Amino acid sequence: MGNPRLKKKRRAAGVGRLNITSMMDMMTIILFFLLKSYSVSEAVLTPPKDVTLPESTSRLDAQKAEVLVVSRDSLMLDSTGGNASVVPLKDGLVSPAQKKGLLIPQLYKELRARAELSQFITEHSARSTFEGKIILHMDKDVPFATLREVMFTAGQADFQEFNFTVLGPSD
Amino acid sequence: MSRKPSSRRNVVIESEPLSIEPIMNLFVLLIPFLLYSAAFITITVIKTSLPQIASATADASQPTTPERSRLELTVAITDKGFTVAGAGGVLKGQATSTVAGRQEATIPLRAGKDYDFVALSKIIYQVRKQHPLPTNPDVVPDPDQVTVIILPETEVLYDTIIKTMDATRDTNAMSDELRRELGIVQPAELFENAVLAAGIR
Repeated sequence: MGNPRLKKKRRAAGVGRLNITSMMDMMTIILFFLLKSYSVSEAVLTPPKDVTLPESTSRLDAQKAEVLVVSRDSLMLDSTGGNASVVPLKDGLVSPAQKKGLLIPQLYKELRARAELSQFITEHSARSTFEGKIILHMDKDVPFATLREVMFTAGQADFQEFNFTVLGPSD
Repeated sequence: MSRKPSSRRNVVIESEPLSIEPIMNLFVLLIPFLLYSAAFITITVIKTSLPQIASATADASQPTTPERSRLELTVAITDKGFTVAGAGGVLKGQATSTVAGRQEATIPLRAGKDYDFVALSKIIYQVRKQHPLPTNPDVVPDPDQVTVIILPETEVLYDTIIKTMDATRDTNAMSDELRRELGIVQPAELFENAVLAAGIR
């Protein structure tokens, strides 16, 4: 004859299995949502904080290139240690002291150094090629005067192709 | 003598609950990976290049499009609106007069302040209809047939330039209503190669 007290104690100590069915449901929904927004692109572009990109109907993906950021306050070149401010801007315009005609010398110096480095790597490595491409993150309220100077300066530094980043259609 | 009853009848098959822990493990690994590569904002690009300066000697060696069929489509963006021009001349708008020696825009500003991208799309579509691309897909069109030169004034905002490029590139920027009006069933390319020129002033 067993002791009824002991029997009750043994039943209470029994280990129940964790019911994870509801968690599975949740995980499945999250998985489908993330699969929908999965993107495969050669270059992962992160829009800069102080730049409002214009909206567009273009659906082209970006390719790897030098990144240039033009906000209303500054002109920056993307570097490994973050954004390096090259030229300060006022209301999206380069001050006359910072330019010579259409050329922005400080930006030219930085871009030329990068172009020479890329060209040097291209000469010594069969795997890389210098294509002279620039990805341009530009605030939608910056006037064309600045864009013209940036494009002219980049052109002088051997960068001839431009990829303007825009907010693509959401569907 | 009766046979011994089968013992199989008394065997109780215990059903094990399906173990979903391995699937859970897979999900836990998949979710951070997908979160990393998820794009909640679609960032795309518009490709453009600097205008090419062709030398006279290079031109002589290259076969060129006959002069009469060259298009040289240009869209100037000014404070008056859009002026559409080609090798044949400037397209005239409703107002044909000139103000202080300056030609009125082909598409004037709406209410004096907003650019009329709908009217621009319409005109560019009509230009494309008059100068169609080769129907044979093996024939590469002449660069002049797919290029539009955009010529903004220095004060024109970047947003306006991008919207002008959209209106001249394809019919995707058109509203459904406009597409119905023009009888466009499938999306069509207009002038996919936009080149930014140095500007008016």
